[in-house]
Amino acid sequence: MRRMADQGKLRTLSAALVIALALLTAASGIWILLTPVEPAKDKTWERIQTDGVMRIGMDASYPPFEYFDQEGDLVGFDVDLAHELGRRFGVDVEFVIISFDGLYDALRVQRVDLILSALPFDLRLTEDVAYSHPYFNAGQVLVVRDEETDLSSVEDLEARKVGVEWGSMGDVEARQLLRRMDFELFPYPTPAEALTSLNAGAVDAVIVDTVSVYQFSDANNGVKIVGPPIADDPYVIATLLSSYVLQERLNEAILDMSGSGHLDRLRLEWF
Amino acid sequence: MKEKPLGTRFTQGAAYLARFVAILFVLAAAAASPQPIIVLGQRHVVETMNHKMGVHTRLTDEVEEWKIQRTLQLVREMGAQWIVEYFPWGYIEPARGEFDWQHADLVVDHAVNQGLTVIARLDFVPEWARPKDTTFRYLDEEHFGDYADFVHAFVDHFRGRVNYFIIWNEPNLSFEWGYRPVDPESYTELLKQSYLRAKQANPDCLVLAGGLAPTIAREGNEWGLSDLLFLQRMYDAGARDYFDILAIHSYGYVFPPDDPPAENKINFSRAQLIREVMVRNGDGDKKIIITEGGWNDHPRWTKAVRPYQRIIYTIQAYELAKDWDWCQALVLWSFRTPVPEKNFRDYYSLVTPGFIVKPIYLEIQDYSRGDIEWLEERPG
Repeated sequence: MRRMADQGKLRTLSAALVIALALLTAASGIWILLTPVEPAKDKTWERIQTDGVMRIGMDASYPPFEYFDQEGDLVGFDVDLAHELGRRFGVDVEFVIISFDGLYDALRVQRVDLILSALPFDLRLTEDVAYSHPYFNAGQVLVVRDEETDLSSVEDLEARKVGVEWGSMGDVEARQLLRRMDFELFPYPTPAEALTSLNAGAVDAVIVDTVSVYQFSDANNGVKIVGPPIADDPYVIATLLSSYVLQERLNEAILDMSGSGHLDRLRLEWF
Repeated sequence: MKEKPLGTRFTQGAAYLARFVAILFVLAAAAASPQPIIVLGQRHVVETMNHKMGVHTRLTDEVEEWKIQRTLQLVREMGAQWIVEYFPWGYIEPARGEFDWQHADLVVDHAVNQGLTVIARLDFVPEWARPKDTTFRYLDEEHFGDYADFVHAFVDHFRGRVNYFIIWNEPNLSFEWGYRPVDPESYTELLKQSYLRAKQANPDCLVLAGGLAPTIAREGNEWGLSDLLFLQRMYDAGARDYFDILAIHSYGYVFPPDDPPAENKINFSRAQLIREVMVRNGDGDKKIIITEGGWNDHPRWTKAVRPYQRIIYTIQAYELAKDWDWCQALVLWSFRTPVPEKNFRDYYSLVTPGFIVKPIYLEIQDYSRGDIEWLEERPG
């Protein structure tokens, strides 16, 4: 009898404890919700806003993305892109010219706020830096004549004549395809010669990088890119991981420029 | 149910017994100590018509043994006799006097098995041998003896397998000298101490000085000093008696290999100017090994050439090296990296990280096998 009474007391005590814990948890939650939280700071973004200057790390050795023209002026796709970003953020841009080997170090020691320099996405570095959405894909693509209707992807290359720049990554991709399908490979000294041959009907398709296609089609109509890229090579903007506001603003701007056609206009201007 | 004849039952029983024994055998084999998946196999010989051909491998950070073996096999199959490989001091001697030879042994054993001649590049200062907040290229004179001791240990450990040792890398660049002003006299002291210790370990070993970088930087430049001036100051400091071979780097950039040399120009034939400095200092009997060099074919880098030019220039350079009697080997930068570098450096390689051989590899291979008709057959 006494044992039963003890068990009853134990149950009551347990229930009281559970209720107390629940109340405490609820109170803590309310306290956390009501306490004003100091937002984490993006010191890079704050400095850009305070100084009115965004410092861009760039290796000016990669035309048409960034290079010095004959007058010694820094020009190119990325240079114009940087100016547009500055305009949208309401700040000036300052270009810090560094050789590629020093770009990431310059970002780490905050000598620059970001790297914008035909920079390929590098999976190995994603624990050290943050990358923006890609703003350009410099990968390998399949190119055919405008009037071509039977060739829409590499799967249609069987028994066709395919041109490449001899020794290029397009050549490497074509030789890889030859391991599983059969077509005739025609190497040319330059991408322009391969694309000219395509235009002239000497080959049915060309595998080449996008920049070469854009540069060729600027002066010559009659060719088009078909299918998805055979190999991707996305160009991105790198910032410090802690520059989260800057990252957000960059991504917003890139998406907007992509949607509004601004990136296409830059491409037409520079390629 | 009809009973099976005795003969049939016996045959079935024998079959069951055989299966049982086979299973036991398999289980016993599995229980035995595991056999290595990668074996050295038979020793190879490099077959090539140009025994000066070499490539700089990048196996330091290659973890998997099969990839090390496959890389070196491809080097041999291409027809290259020489490799330069980097053996970081800091990896091998992470604490003073404590050596970990495992990875270095792996690389050297596979290279030797493929019939390759290994040139070991030795640098990368461990943390215990340099002040905090310095780079792994920083070595003050107080620790020169530690480096020389490491050289001694390395030469001794690899006696009979490796006979060529490069003391440091590009000491005429500030970056490679721990971001300090370059110092030919101090480097000569490092060379002297290392040479003496190396010879103590193996009197027949060959010590390579330098790995001088091609640069036209003048005296006082914060980033480096011209290789020609640096070498002269090495001689002035008494370096002549403390190296057997001079290691230099010879990049062509946008110029063909036969572009004439000039003091204010960086091109492949700049090697001839280095040679002239050696001759002027009475050291003309010594050989040069080009331990890095070649061309890059990035599609847009301003210091690169088109891929077809890279192929032609590279083979012409190997041919030129054959004619340079003072040049013992031409080692191209670089054969393959363990992972993509995602920048212009990927366009120096001959094989991708995924072991896809690039067209330039195949052309060099044809050349090494004596097929020199390619120039007429190819476009351009």
